[in-house]
Amino acid sequence: MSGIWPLAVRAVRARPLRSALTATAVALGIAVVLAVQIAIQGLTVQAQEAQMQQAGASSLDVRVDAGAGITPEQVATLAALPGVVKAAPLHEKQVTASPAGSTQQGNAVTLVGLQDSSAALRSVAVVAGRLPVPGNTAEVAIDQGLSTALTGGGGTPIRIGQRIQLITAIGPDVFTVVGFTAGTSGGASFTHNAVFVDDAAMLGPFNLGLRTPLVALRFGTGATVAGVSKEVHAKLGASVTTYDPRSGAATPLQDLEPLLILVTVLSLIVGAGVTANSAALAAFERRREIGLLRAAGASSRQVFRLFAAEVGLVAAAGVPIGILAGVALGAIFEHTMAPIDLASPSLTPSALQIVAAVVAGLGAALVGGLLPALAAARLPILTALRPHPVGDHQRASPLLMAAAPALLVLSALCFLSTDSGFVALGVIAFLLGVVMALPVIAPALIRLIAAALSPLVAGAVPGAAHLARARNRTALTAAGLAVSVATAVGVSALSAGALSASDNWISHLFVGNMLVSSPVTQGDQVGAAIMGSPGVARGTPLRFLSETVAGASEGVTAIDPAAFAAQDGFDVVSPDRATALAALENGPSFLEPAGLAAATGWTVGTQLPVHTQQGLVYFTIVGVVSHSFPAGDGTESLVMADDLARTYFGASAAGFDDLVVTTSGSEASVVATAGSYGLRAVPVSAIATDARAAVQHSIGLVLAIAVIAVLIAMCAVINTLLVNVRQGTRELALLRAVGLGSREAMRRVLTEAGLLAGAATLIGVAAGCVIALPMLRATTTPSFIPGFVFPIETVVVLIAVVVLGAVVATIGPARRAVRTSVLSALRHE
Amino acid sequence: MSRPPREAIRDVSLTVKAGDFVAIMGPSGCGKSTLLHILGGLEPPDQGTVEIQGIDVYALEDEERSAFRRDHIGVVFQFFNLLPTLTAAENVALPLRLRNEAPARLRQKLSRQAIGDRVDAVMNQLNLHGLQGHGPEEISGGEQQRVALARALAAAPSLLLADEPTGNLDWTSGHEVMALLTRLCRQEHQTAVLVTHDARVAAYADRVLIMRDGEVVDDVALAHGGQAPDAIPDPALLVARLAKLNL
Repeated sequence: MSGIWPLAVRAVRARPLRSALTATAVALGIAVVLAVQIAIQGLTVQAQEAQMQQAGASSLDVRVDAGAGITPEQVATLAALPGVVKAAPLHEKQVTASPAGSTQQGNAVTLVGLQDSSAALRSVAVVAGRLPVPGNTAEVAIDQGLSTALTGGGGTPIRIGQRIQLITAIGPDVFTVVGFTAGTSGGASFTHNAVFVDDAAMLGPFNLGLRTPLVALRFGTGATVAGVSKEVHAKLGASVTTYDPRSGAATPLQDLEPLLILVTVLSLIVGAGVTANSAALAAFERRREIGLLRAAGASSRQVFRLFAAEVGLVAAAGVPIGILAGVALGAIFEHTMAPIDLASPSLTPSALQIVAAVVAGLGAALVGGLLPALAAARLPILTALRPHPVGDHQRASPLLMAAAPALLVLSALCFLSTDSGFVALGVIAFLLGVVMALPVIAPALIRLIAAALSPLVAGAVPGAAHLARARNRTALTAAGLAVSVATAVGVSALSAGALSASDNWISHLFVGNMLVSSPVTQGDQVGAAIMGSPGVARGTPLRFLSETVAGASEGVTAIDPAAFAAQDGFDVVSPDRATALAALENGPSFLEPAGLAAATGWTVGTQLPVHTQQGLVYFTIVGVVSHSFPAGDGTESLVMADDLARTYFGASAAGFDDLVVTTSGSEASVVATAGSYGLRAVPVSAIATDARAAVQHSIGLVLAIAVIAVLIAMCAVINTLLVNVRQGTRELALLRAVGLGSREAMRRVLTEAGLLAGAATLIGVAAGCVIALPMLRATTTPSFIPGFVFPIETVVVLIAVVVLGAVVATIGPARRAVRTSVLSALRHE
Repeated sequence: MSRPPREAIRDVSLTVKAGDFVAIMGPSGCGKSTLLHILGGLEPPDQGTVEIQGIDVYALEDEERSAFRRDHIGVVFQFFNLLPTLTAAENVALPLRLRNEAPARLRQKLSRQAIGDRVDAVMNQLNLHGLQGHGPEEISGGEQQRVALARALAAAPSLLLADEPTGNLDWTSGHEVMALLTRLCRQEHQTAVLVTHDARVAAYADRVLIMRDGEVVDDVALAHGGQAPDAIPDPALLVARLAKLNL
């Protein structure tokens, strides 16, 4: 044996359960930090890869929204720019398609030209058959949804080898279907309702009325987006816009990052608290040992190093476990958060991520353990040597009592802001303030609960007195649990508020109980057939358009305003529902979603220039709604009356994309009817469930971390309860010597465990409700206004699990303590 | 309502020469343990000094005082106070290990071999051979107290202090400990001060200071007239002096 380290090792091994619990807490802290890093990086990389896949081979897109688009001369100019290897124009044209020889009205489709089997340098996904051979002007590949849409719902779907006719201004042209597609790598909305032909056909039979809205440029080595963009604007002026298709990948957890960071930091604080608690318990239990060491000549510095070494050993033991757990947790987070239609994100943490997690977790643990080590070193020798510290009444530290109100005031100031950074700081300050005040709050609350329980539980009052006597130990133990429970309750309240807002959103948008949706635009006759079928009481169509509004491409949803007015559709912010929906039918007008209003500054009365078939027409904003239907790019769309849409946008606004129906009988009959037309019918309740799942999915990650923090805190609670039982063995023996029964003794011990855990949880619940309010305010946007909803389920589960866990963890040690013979217990030190 | 602080000891002046075996006795609360703690550098007096081998103990910084305590003062307490996670030998070696871990200016490094030899020597001296590898829970009360005594002697202190060393032992084990102490003082010229409330224990010493209410009220010299160290001394003289003092 040489020096401090063997002493430290022996002390750690002498209390294996405490050491294991503390190491577990440290490991969980490291795991959380590592897992969050892995998840953020993995999902971000996945999103970036998806973005790259969407961009195809295009390095830069040049776009024109209005008119005929980019001219052939401009395409040639772009191809000749320095650094550009290839310029691939996206030729498209709106035509009507129907089965060859059919007399049906036909469907409006978008004819898209292929170059080398790609559209604007994006690959085309072929699900059956093939794409038209390059140079061939008699073959087409159609979107798989069109195979049923083109037949009008009746008869058999179009098969490969069959012929369709594409009707232009000069008459129909017949083509052979050689394949079915499922959009391009640019996404389904990139080529919605597409019929793919080779560019030879586009530039040949379909040359008239051809539109080139986009040219995709592929760069050579050394060319940069900024450089080529500059050249593009120099040559083509401001009439075009340039867009880097590889940039702007969504960072999947970006909105959640502040909350994730906050909860992760709180988990580390809880971990530090567990270590502090463990070190404090060790110092308490070994106070005579400290006195002995000092009497034998150890300096206070040596005592400090001994306890610090113990903290270091236990914390270090948690490191490898934490790394492994972090990778596993990261895998779980990625698996639950990643979109299912993308390749699984990578799971390999970098060395830097591991180091950061270890430094954070280990650092927090060491910081937490150093203060009790310092206190142990400063313990007066004779105080430490006192045989039985009976009646050793702990006092609340004046320093902590002074710090608590200061922290609470700081938090109140931070909560006045809606900036997420300030709110996060405020949350941390508030929880720390509560922790500082716990030596006063916790004993008082425990006594209160015990007084309330005393008619039912005999050991409540003595148990409360015992906990109150050791107020600092009780407070230190309760601190971690209170913080972690507060975090879990706060996040749950956030989730509950978001779910409530989501339910509100769904109920106001979908004014029936079923949604019939089509992958491609269907004809009016199909809609009429479905709405007239048995089982449908009423229905209203939705048509999704993309139009140029105020110089930019905006999503527009065409609706029947009367149907929505009758069903209390839309959560109208301004002016009121009846006025806004009635105004939609009175002239060219839009309802605007609140998010778009905040972004653009457009208000009720704003007039917007819109490119229509009748030329430039000014549409008026007649109302602002909380939410409207999603546009193809993920934003929310403007809303207009469907008959006015047909008036201003012609045949392209005809038909429907979705039907909102109210059933009069069984939903199954509507499902069957829709299916016969190749459409899908889902209950609106299923959409609401999916929306709730999406909210829970995103906040679920944060809640999972908060739950892990609760588990970390439980380590401290169990540690303290075990010490309390050990310390209470002598007292119990004395009581049993004078007549206390062993069952009553057990009840006392278990009641004390329940009181400690219950009080800490209640404090955490109250604190969680307080921090939820500013968190909800910080997440509020014009289009997302979650209200406070008390998370009753989470609270009940937390109270039950924590109190039960504490009691169950105490049963074994309590049984041993109670079964110890009176004589040997009285000799116990 | 605050009360004025109570004086534990008052106007005590004491000189202990090298090789003296002094006992301090008196009723409970008379200040004898407080006096011992002050002598041992464990509790600074409000007034006065403690000089051991010419060094004012309380003029030293905390680190230096700890080192002084480690090198010059051995303390044995009533409750055996062995570190439960260490074996008997490791408990005995503790002051020597602490010496090795001290800051450089206060360090007197000993090799592992030297420490082991010293531990064996001290343990043999106190009839503890064979118990080196045993933990405290594996040995008897008397053996534990002798291990505590061995630890106090491991660093060859100039002053040995014992606070009720037999208070927790049966008479036979207590006699064994006291006989060892007597032999150390008489034959090895160890200087020792012990505190006891028991006249039979104080009778082993060469000089007994009787305290009452914080003051030394009598100083009794005891002659043992060539008695063997393991002989049981007669406390009659002490008892008579105590009776005279109404103690």
